[in-house]
Amino acid sequence: MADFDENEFDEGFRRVIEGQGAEPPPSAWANIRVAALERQLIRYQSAALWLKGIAGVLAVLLGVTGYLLYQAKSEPTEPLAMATPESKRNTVFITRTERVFVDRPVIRYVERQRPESKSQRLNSDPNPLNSNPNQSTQNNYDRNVTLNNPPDGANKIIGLSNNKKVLDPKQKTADGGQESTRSENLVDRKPDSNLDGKTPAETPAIDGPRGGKGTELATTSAEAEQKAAPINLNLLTAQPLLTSRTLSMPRLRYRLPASLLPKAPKIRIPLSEKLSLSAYVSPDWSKVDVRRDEADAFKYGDEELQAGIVAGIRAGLSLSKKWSLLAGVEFGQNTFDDGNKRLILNAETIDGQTAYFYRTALGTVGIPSDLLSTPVQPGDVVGLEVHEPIQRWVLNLPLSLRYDIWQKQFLLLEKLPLKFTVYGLLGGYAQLPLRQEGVVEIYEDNGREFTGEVKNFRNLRPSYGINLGAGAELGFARHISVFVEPNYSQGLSSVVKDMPLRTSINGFGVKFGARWEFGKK
Amino acid sequence: MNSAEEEKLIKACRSGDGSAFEALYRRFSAKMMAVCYRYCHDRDEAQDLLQEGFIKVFEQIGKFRGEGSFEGWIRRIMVLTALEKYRKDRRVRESRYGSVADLQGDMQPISSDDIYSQMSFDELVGMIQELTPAYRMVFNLYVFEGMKHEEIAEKLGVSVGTSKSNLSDARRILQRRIEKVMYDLN
Repeated sequence: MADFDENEFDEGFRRVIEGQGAEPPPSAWANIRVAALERQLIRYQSAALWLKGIAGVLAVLLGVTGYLLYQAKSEPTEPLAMATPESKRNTVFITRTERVFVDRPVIRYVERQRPESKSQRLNSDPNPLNSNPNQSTQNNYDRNVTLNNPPDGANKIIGLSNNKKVLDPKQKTADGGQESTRSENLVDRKPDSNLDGKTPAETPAIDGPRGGKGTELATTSAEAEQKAAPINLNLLTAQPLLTSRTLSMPRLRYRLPASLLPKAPKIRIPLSEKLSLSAYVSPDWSKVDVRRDEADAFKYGDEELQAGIVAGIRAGLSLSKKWSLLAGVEFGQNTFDDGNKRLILNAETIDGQTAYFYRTALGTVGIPSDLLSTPVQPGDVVGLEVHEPIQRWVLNLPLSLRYDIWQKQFLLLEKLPLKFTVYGLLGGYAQLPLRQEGVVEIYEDNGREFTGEVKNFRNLRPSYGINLGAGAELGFARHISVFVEPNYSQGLSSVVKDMPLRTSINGFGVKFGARWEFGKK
Repeated sequence: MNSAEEEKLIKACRSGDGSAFEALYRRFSAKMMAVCYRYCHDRDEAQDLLQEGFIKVFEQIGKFRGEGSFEGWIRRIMVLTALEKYRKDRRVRESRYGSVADLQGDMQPISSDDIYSQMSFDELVGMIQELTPAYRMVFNLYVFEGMKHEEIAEKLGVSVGTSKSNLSDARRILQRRIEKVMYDLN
């Protein structure tokens, strides 16, 4: 091996082999093309599988969200319960010198805790904040007033404040042993002990401390008011006062405890105020995804969609502060072509009709036989050229949920209030084919050539898909806002039927539009 | 095809133009077929490799940055595809081939001119195809792709010594066969 020059040897090989070519067999290109398409098909199928999975998950999430929203809306609203009865003192002048202080309950409502069972409610204090140990006065918490009907027909006020001890209607007074009713807060006057037993006609409306025997009404000072003990009030005489507007006193009526009361009515916003209406336009960059199920499908279906336009309107229904439901209608227009396509069409009989059929990934169309110079016979052949894109119109019915992610209100130039909202959208759509038409050039066997219009594409069918997007909205007037909304849609079903290929369309667009809110505050 | 036309073709391929892919194939298929022949045992295998290689070219054409020649880039893809195939089928191939008969005996020196003047492309490619896959791979990578033994060892998953030894054996076998052809001719 000593004489063997490795470099010489290698160089000899390089000189002979390098730069040489060996023509591959003619079938090689066809094999490569089919292999590439098959690989593409497998990729699409696996992508479709993933998309189906994702769509399934999204559908579940959407369902759960919808359920939660529904549940949140239909959950019974707890009756508002008065937590801390507070009183506001009104001064009522009976005469110029005589005045009465009336504690008017000021009712403050708070959300209650989760409701207990009915039996629990019946057995427990309905007002958890009520500290009054006197059970006989516990049920007056709704208005703090309970009206009893004494035997003599006179109304008796037990109390207006449940924070203060009130005597039971049946309780006898210590001094006279007579049945008496007292209200500590309704009237702050000195006690009077000589009025019971008198007829209403004989009894003045209000008895109080006086120099004489109830004939004069003493002037009360603030200090005296503080020290004054409750006086008896003949409510038969005082009845007009109780319902008087002058007193600004709530109308007395017997009410059931809150726990037994029907639910407090919810504040309902009229449906019309939850609605909004948007109009928008969007450029549309869609792409055709072709999945071939049979070898025949590899002979055609290389069309590509060109940029189109979408215009639509949609209505929005506010579900909550952040969620709203959007539904609308869109018209889309775009074109597709395969760039100077030249094809040989063989006459075929489909559904009893013998014609030349031009097959595309977006439907099949028959060449109108009336354009041809001779009747079409099975086996006849014509040449077809497509120089211009084929027009396509569709109707989309989108349905989406909108979630307001972020909002900010600010003043422009310290004058114009603006509201900026960033939101996300997730939903689906149904697409209905409306029309497809184009112009083709036909070359007949006899040398005649002509240009004809093709429409009535067959094999088209409604399809559906999902869409998602994000948007930014700027509200600059009471009801009006404008928005920009980039969005992506993915077709989940084929737009053609009864073909050896399935075509789905995915696309990207940016909606520019304006929204009118009917009930904006 | 000048570089401007080549650039246009690449651009069309990147945009997914089917006719551009076909033009690209027509442009480079013969040269790449010659490359594939060297790495394969027979014509069918070479055709499979060519097919696999061109599909990768189509898939990865977007990654071509324009650094270096486009032909060189395609050729690299073909060689990498051959390497992948070799690694995948190594066990099967090693059991199918392997002869050390040609390694015996003394060698006569053969010059580059001798080979160039007396041997044809088909004959030399045929001889390379007859090598065992391991010898063929090392010989191709070293002689035609200009790789160093360290690089070859790394790509084939063998030691540097094995790479050197395989190259040496491949050369001996080829020289023996060339001698035979030249002897027959003379």
